[in-house]
Amino acid sequence: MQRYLIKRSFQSLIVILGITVIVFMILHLTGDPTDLLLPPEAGPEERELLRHELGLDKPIYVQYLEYIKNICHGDFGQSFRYQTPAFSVVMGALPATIELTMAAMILSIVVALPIGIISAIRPRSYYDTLGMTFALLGQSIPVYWAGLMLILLFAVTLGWLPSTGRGGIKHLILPAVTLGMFSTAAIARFTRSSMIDVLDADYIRTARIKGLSEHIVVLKHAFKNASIPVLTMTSLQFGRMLSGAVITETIFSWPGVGRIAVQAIYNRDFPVVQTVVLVASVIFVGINFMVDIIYTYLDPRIKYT
Amino acid sequence: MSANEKILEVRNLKTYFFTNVGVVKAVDGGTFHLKKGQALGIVGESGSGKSVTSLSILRLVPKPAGRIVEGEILYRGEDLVKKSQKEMREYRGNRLFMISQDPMTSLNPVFTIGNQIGEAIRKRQKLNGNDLKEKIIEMLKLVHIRASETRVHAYPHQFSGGMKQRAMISMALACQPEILIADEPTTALDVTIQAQILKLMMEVREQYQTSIILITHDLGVIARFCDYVLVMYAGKIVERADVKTLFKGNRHPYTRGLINSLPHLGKKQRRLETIKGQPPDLLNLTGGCPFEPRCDYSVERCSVEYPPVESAGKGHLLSCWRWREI
Ligand SMILES: Nc1ncnc2c1ncn2[C@@H]1O[C@H](COP(=O)(O)OP(=O)(O)O)[C@@H](O)[C@H]1O
Ligand SMILES: [Mg+2]
Repeated sequence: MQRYLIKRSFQSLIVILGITVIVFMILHLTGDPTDLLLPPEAGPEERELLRHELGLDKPIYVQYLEYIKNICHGDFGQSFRYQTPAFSVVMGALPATIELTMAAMILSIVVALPIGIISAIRPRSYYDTLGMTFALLGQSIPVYWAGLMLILLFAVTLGWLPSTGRGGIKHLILPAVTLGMFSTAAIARFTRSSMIDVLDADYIRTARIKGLSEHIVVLKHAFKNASIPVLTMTSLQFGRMLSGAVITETIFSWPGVGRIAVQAIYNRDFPVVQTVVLVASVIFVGINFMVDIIYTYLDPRIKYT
Repeated sequence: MSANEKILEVRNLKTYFFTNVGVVKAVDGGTFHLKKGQALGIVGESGSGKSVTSLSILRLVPKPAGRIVEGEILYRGEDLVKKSQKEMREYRGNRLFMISQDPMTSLNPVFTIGNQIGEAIRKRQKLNGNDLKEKIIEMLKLVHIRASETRVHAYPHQFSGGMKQRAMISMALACQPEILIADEPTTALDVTIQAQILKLMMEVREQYQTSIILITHDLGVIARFCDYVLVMYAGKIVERADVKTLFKGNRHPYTRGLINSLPHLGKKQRRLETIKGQPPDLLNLTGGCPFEPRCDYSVERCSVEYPPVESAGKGHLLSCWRWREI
């Protein structure tokens, strides 16, 4: 196990490094940030000066190596736009994004698991049909449209909930529902199909032969087995949510990393974009790492060496 | 209670599967009974309805396709067919237990063996903590699993097939059912292991006076183990007799075919006889005897009309138009 952890950490590092290379290259292909930083009447000398100041005049691989070297020293670069460290720009917005993502994730799981499990126990019942119809809708409605409709209904028409900004629970509801909708649907459908598979297994019959109650049969014997693929699916949803946060935060003016990222891309604020991607990849890789460890607790047959 | 009491009486049991391609009459009119302490064997080719018969008794016929459409299953006079699934829980485990065909898949892979045996124990005795653990170890010892103190914590994948089947038997022991159904308990195991498992089941029977329904397609096992035998073909019980009559005085062509296909130790045989033809397709049964296409004795009537159940002696019943001539 220990060897696995070391090996795995090393792999994660390579993945993250790979991501930085790709993002770095793509960003530098999108154009020259000085276009946006200088006033339109600025001349070529001024431009060269700024390019030199920002280090953009060096060959791209040199820029990249310097970037990595600086990161190792905890320096993620200055935001071109705000003239403050890019890292603090991103970190300042991170709690808001984590709050939103966690809320959406918890909501998804809490809603999806019961729907999936009950649908699986009574396939083709009214409940199942209803649940799966909602799930299909949840997966087919585009996030921005759902967000706008929710705002229209609950903020504009009914006036029950605020539509913009971050505050208490009330502010969190609409963005979390919007962000979590797709994942709720996906997890519910996946839970249903995994549970249906598992409920057919011989060991479920054994549990019933022992005369165990239906609760124990379903929630202990079946669910623990079904939870393994469901966990895989859920961890993938985390990645989706990190990207979905960009749209959701923009719709609801949620002061999170997603919004910062969008602005930074418009402004060609390279250090901020790079830091956003780096932080997001570290979180995603970290979650996957954690999930792999959880597998070993759910399924004794999984052993890492 | 007298030793001859019928603890299980199945009358005209019909269990059908309603599939997209038609109705499969997996069990079509099963009538038999089981006495206290008796070992009842059920033989027949695969697909003849042996497993479905046992699942029907436990009321665990695969849903939604399968359903008991007719008949009674009387356990000590109470009709199990009329019970709800919730009521059936009182019968499963402590009164009826079933060991199924495939030990590889019948234990839950994500819980320890100890945990799964513990559940069976707790059905009878509300033990906890160390008391429960002691009891589980005791159960494992009863089925001759070595190093049981550590094996309690093992998972099914760490057990061999034979050990898994022993673990299943230890669950049965923990439940102490009145009726133990063993559905081909040794089919998936090595020959040497088979003998050990059967021996273990005989021990259980003697020690606890458990009534046993043993399903197998191995007539050798039936000969050694059972008192009374049902021969099933295409969902119907075609012949039933005590074990001696079955081997020496059988009158049904299918039973005879099965017995003739047994290798005889010590006798010179050029080759084994087999029953010609294929088992019937349960979806396309005619009104006649389903064995007719494969039967050497068939006459015209056989393909039109199913023969009635007739008695050929004490406790010897069979369905064949021509049994008197056989
Ligand atoms: N879940 C099911 N759905 C449809 N048909 C089934 C199902 N289970 C069993 N059957 C059918 O019932 C018949 C009897 O099966 P079974 O009792 O398992 O035979 P066996 O004598 O080999 O134990 C078979 O023809 C089989 O195809
Ligand atoms: Mg079978």
